[in-house]
Amino acid sequence: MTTTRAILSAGIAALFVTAVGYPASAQDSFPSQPITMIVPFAPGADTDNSARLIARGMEERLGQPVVVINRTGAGGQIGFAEGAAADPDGYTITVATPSIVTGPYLSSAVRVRVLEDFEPVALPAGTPLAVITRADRPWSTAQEFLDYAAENPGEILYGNPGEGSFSHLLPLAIESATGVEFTHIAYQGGGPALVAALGGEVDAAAVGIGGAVEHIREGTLQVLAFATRNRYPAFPDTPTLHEMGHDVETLTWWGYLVPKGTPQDRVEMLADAIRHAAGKPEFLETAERRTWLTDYYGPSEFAEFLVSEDARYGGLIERMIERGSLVRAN
Amino acid sequence: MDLFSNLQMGFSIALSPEILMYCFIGVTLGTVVGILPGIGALAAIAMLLPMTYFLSPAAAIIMLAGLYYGANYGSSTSAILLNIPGAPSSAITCLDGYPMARQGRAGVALIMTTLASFAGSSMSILLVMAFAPPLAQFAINFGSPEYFSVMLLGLLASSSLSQGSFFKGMVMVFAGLLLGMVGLDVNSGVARYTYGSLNLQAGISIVAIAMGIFGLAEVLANIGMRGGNRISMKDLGWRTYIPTRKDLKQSFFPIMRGTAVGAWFGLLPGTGSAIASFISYAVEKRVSKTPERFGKGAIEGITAPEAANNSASQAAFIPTLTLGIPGDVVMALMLGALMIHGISVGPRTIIEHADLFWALVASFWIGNFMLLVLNAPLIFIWVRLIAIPYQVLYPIILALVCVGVYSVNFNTFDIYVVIVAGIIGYVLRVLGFPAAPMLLGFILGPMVEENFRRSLMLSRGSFDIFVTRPVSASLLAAGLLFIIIVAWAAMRERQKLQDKKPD
Repeated sequence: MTTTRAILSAGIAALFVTAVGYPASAQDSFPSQPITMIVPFAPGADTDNSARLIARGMEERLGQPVVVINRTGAGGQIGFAEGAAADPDGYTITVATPSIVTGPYLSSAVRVRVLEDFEPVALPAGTPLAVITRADRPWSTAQEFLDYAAENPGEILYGNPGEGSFSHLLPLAIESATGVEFTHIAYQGGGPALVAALGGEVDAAAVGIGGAVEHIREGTLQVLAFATRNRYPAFPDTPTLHEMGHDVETLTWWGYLVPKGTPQDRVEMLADAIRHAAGKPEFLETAERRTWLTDYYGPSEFAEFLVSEDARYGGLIERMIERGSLVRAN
Repeated sequence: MDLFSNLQMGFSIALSPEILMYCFIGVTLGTVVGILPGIGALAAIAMLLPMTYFLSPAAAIIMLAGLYYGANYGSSTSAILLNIPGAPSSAITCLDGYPMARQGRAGVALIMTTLASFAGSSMSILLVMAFAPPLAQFAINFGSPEYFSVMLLGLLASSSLSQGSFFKGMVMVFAGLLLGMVGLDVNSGVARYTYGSLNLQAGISIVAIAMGIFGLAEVLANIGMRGGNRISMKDLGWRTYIPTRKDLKQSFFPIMRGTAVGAWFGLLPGTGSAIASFISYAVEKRVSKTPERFGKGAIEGITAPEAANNSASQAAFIPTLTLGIPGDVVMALMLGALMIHGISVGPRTIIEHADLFWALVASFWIGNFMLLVLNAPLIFIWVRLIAIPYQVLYPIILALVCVGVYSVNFNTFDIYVVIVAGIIGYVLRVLGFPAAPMLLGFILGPMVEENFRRSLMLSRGSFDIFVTRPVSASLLAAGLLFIIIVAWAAMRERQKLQDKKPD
């Protein structure tokens, strides 16, 4: 019978189509299998912690497991590259930080271009960088710090978690915006840079506010200014560099991306699930304790933001390379 | 006494049935991943991390900590029985542990390393209990020049790791130094020897190198052998498990020294148990009156490093818990687990979260005791591993090594590194080049360079920084003394030879 045969062959065809990853009915069935979330950074850090909380919230909304895998190495670039090469079907989400923007400007070995290779989904949270210095130095406000730096070029030792790391861009951006000069001291990661500041080996450390907050409470370190557009809720009395008239904004944001070419309706579904996860009390509570910023950007806002971030850091890094403050690795 | 009331409070929490169960899960899993080559505490803790969200903070940290220090008990087992280290920190245990097994003393070796591990841990826990805050202060004040000087001292000591030709040992140290340079340079951001590869930019994985050069090379070396020189179970009567009085006597001071070396390196963030075990082996060989026994089954060659790596992993909790600064990736994971529960670790943790801190310290005692009880009877089972035919055992080991190395970074590139390192390791073995000095050069080289250059940046180019700081100056003086002693010993040796010649 022809009809039976037709149904059978259609069924077999459908099976094949499903098997290669294109579900027969695209709209209603997504997601019909577990979703992989690539976190290109080590487990346990803020980026990973926030991603795992988001993944748990997304599972509720999507009804499918969201499996977090940590693909570390080369400042996140190995994970970014893997995420970019995944099938554009919405089943592989990549968690990105500003390193995905700065990477190609800092090393020619980095082939991933976030604007060309990815579709932005959402940006639910981030943690700001701030000017953190020892408390026992001859300054107690951001202005005094900058004045001291201007009068004593190169005297302030500014520790950072590695040459060309994202945090290193904060002191470089301050130099670029104000004309002061620091002596940059690189360490193998944020922990050692923080230890160096605690031990007094350096005067200031370009590290995230999260790791330093206990030492600020203790009075060993002080936070002078935030590198955010608006005042930071957890420290309402601390000024921003922006309000002091310096165009310095360095925010470690955590953005969620899917490969370019992912169907728009799936992007929207994932964005909706991330918004749901980021609005859950357990996420907001952790965010408050860890002093994260929680401004949600949807697909289009995130896309616009990425373009401006690309322009910001691209320009800064090019200027720094020209000046000899940074090296482009090959 | 404050200490005792605190400890009492800690035990009252740690001995509750729920916590006791998680402690047991932690140390048991730790032993298992320790024994499996390549799979380390890192992979296991990363896998357990999501589970800890649903536990109380105390249960979470006690389980993860148990896994962390438990792994050090297991990692010597495969080193001794199979000549394949369970983790880089036990690579050095192969040197004398495997010869002991070949002499039919596997049981003694395993019992002695378990005892050494327990002794090293216990003494280090006492340090954590009594002196955590002042020791943390010491660690903070240990700056770049001090790191440079202590690493240089370690590098000098590494020369004594080699068996046989001194020249070959030095060649291997330098090979290790060169391999350690691969990747992005911390101080300048320049990519060295990466040939445009992102994977190489991240540097070569220490686990992959250790597993290749010790593990895979061992497998390759045994291909084609019919197992003629293997020990049979018949030679392993119960008497072979009992350490002699001589074993105990020969191990006592090495365990003490190993513990001290381990505690020292455990305290310093960024160093850790692999350096501790290598250095303590070098120290033992140097102070021994009979250095020629090393490499042929000297009991000090296994007890000192195992005491050292356990002591290091307990001492590593000091900077982690008092400063919130993780000494290594595994510690970072543990801090992450606490963060999820809203506990942000810092200088006031011991006071603000006293219950948690003392419960953890109490759990160290309980956990280490469990490990002792758990490991001792298991030894009778592990020893039977030797009786498994090669054609069954080695494919399993190969698979485990690959899975283990992959589990560190989830990067297939690391598996290729294992293969290349394994082939190189095999060739070196055939040519009689020792692998241990290379591994130490690989670990220490980048740290020496990084801290040397950073010190000079801090001092704006002045070399005074290394000698004007007392700790750095004394470490350098110790290094100089070391060179003089070695040179003097060598000259005396030559003198003896010349005196003999005229006869």
